[in-house]
Amino acid sequence: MKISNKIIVLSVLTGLSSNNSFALGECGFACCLAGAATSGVTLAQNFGLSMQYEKMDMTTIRNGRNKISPDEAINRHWKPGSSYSIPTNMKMEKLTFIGALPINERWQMLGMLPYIRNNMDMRNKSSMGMVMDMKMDTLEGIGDATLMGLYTAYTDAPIRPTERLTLGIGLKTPTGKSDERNSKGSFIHAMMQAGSGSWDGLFSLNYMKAFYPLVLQGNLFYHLTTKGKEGYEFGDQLGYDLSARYQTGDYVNLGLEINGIHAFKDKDHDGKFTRLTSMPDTPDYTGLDSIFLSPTLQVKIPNSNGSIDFKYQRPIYQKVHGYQQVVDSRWQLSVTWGF
Amino acid sequence: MAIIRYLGFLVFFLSGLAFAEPVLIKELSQPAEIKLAPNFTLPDLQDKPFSNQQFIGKVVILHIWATWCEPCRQEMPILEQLQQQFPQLVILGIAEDSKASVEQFLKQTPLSFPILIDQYGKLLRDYKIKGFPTTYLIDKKGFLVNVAVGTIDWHDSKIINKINILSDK
Repeated sequence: MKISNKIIVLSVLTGLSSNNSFALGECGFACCLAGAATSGVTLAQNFGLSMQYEKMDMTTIRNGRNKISPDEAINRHWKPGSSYSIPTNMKMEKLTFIGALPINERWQMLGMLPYIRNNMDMRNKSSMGMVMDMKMDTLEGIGDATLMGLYTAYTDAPIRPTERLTLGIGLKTPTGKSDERNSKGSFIHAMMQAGSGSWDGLFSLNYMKAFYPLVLQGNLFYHLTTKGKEGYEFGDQLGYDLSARYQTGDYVNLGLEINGIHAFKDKDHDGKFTRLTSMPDTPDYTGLDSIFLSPTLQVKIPNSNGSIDFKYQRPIYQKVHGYQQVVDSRWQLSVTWGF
Repeated sequence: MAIIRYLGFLVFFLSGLAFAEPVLIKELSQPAEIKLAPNFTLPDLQDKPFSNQQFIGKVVILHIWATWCEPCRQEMPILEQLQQQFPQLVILGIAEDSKASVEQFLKQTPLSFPILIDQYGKLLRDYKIKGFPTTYLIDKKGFLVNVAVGTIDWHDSKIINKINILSDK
């Protein structure tokens, strides 16, 4: 028997797959939560598989809502006799494997395992006032695996419902490395680590209303973080999303999403990652509010239960605590197959 | 890396399960409650409307399927053989598809019985369909007397007997 749930899962999946530490700051789990109404991974008779590639570019530095240049960011912090470093460019890539398994008519289990690759360029002004650009070593590895259960609290039909309410509860595990060190033996920035080192709770609420061929969704997502094994605790995150998806042709769905996130400040309980001479290593410079606008495109593969999804995100509002490098753009490409 | 090998094995194993031959149903179940089939009117590929009401007095096989469902695609030629064997039987294929998808499928698998388009799932909702394919046997009075979710072995004698019994009533 096929148990099909044309639900919000990919939204949860794409959000959950973002176990990259920095990504927790702005996109994290909540980013891209919306827009999964027609994800094929949850249409599976027996199970669904998805592979998702994601790339995030971060260049802009903000102070509050204001954009400032890298040199200005350095000069506001630099003092003679002390150096100061800022990130000038970050590229974060992630490849996530996702599996979805229906348990019964109401429950579905999801598992996600990301592989992360992060690159960061930095600018340093030395104690003598010399400015130098540096390219950090690429950091890559398996990220934090996530398990999530999705419960259909209400639906008016098992397949092609016009209304559905789904609750989610999950656990992010600390499978990714969170203690990578540089050549000097110091911990690499917490945000660059492949994992967070912590066991975190995940909670979601999704409401779907369909006026076929138009499907609307609203999502709420809460990521409850805990202290990692090295003492660093990323701030909790609240995500909220609205999405609309329209079937424009036999094989094409177009969509538009608004994805919002509120991230609380991080805490470095043991002080192992804090370096006040480095912007990305200052816990006070964490926590933010962002809103993204995201057009989406889904192409169904004819005569199959497969689809290709593409999403592009641009920020329309960003406000940060202190000084932070923020996401300039993000795009995702995924291939999904239901069996 | 061990994890990559593990993932590769997992995908291979699960793919093997996915492409395994479906288990054929050899016996039709009775619904929990024998009810009149909910009324529907759906268009065929020429936009001609078909309603279940017009088939009162005949035994109907209501077969809900989709072109993207591989077991469904495999079952359609068998249903065509059944239609040829029992011309008095009414077989209605309800496709949760667009017209274009069904037309594409029919180019490779011609069918003589009507295929009705339920692209946005109205019938699926009314009948609370839970999986593909789903088949209902409707008696001459319009009652849903049997149901099966999954691919049916239409050559099985028990299935053929059931159809014959309903047709003779």
